[in-house]
Amino acid sequence: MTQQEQTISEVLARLLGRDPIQMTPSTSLQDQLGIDSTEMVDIVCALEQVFKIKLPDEAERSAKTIADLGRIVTAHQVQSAA
Amino acid sequence: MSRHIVVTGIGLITPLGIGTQATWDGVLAGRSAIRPIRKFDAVAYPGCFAGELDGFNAEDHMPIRLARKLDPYTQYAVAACDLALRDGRLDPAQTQQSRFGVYVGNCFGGWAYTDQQLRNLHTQGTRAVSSFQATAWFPAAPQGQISILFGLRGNSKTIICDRASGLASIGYAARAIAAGDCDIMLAGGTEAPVTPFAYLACLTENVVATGGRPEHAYLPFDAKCKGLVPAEGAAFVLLEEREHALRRGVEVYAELQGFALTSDSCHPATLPARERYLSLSMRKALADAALTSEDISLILADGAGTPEGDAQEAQAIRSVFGEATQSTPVAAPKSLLGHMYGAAGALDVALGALALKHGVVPPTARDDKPEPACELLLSTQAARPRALKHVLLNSRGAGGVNAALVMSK
Repeated sequence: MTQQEQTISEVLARLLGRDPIQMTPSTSLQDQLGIDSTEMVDIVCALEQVFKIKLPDEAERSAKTIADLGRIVTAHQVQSAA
Repeated sequence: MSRHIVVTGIGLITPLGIGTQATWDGVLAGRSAIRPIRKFDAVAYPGCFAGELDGFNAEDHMPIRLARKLDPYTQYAVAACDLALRDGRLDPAQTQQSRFGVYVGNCFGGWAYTDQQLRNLHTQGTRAVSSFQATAWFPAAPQGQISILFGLRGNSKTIICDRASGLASIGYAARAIAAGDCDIMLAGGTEAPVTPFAYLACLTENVVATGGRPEHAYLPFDAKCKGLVPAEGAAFVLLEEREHALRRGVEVYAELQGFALTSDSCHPATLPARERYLSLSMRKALADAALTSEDISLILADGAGTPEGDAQEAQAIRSVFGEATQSTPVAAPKSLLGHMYGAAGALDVALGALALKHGVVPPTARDDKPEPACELLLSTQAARPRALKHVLLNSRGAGGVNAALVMSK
């Protein structure tokens, strides 16, 4: 698990009341964690605060797994640093 | 009412305690739960008091994942319903869910959540507003969450008629059962008005008491009355068609016998010039119950706590009860913990059921003597044993709503 995926797992665990140990990069946001569209908006906003980045609206629609969120966060961390 | 409606469960989340027993123990002890405001920085609200919950933990009644999306008033309602179901030993999954509904009384909606989100909006911009705002603040949120969490698919409604909402919600829920539309209802009220904005809204109505000692702020029918004190909490009862309850072998607290609503049709915020329709709602509720004023052993008053409100209610009681006014005790136990607005009338139903069960006239907060002009047999600050058979409850709301309900042992 990358550092970003680890942090994302901890954020998800806090927001969903789950144990972060249950989460892996391939954990499906919808099928396994049952995240609905409103929760997804909340999660993206939380990740923006934690990583201090701005994420595009399509992040909410395109991310299917924790790894997907990790890739999106990493890409925008790089953009912010550039 | 045609079919018989009984109370088989009670769930209370109040400033006197979390749970029915804690609340009832506080009532019996005549203990005041009214304090200076602690829920927010009240430096701009000098002399303001509230009845606030102590020790409420939403996660005791629902998953944290749900709790964090809800305004406190929905959390309180869900918790109170959870307690009422446990008290009534009823598992909704074992019922015919299309014949099980929920009626919720409420005034303000979700202002604890919204107050914070508005602050986020104006200080940090639109992206700082929670994605759960829309579903957290609207008045039907508790009804929705309760029906989802407990799988209730019957006739359900949110009743909004200001401070009479809680009593009206129970009355309407009982009517739905009586009409054969369902067999079981969770009915009650919930409110969380102790927020900077919602409390300010209460203040602008000019019915809130401020200053002095907190335990002497809310004194219905007292010579020193000066208004009410807002409070938060929820009160729900489990209502069943009587045969349904008897088949389950569950204990019955009381039977709901009559209910009526009238309207003063006067002004959005003030009382009518004189009382006419509160007494009419009382007479109609008695007629609905096929009882007379002589049958009533206890009146649980609306207890506005303002000189005008108390005078009108006293006049209505004298008008309906005549000579029996001097022998029929009047109590306003809500004065001990504050006025829970949309939940207040529901709390009165719960306390009325407990009073019937235990044979006790609940106390009323007092500082001085009762206002002599009211000429009522007002309960003291000590609970008194008395054999009770029928209780009449009053509840009034801004805009001229008068609700009355009769319940019996």
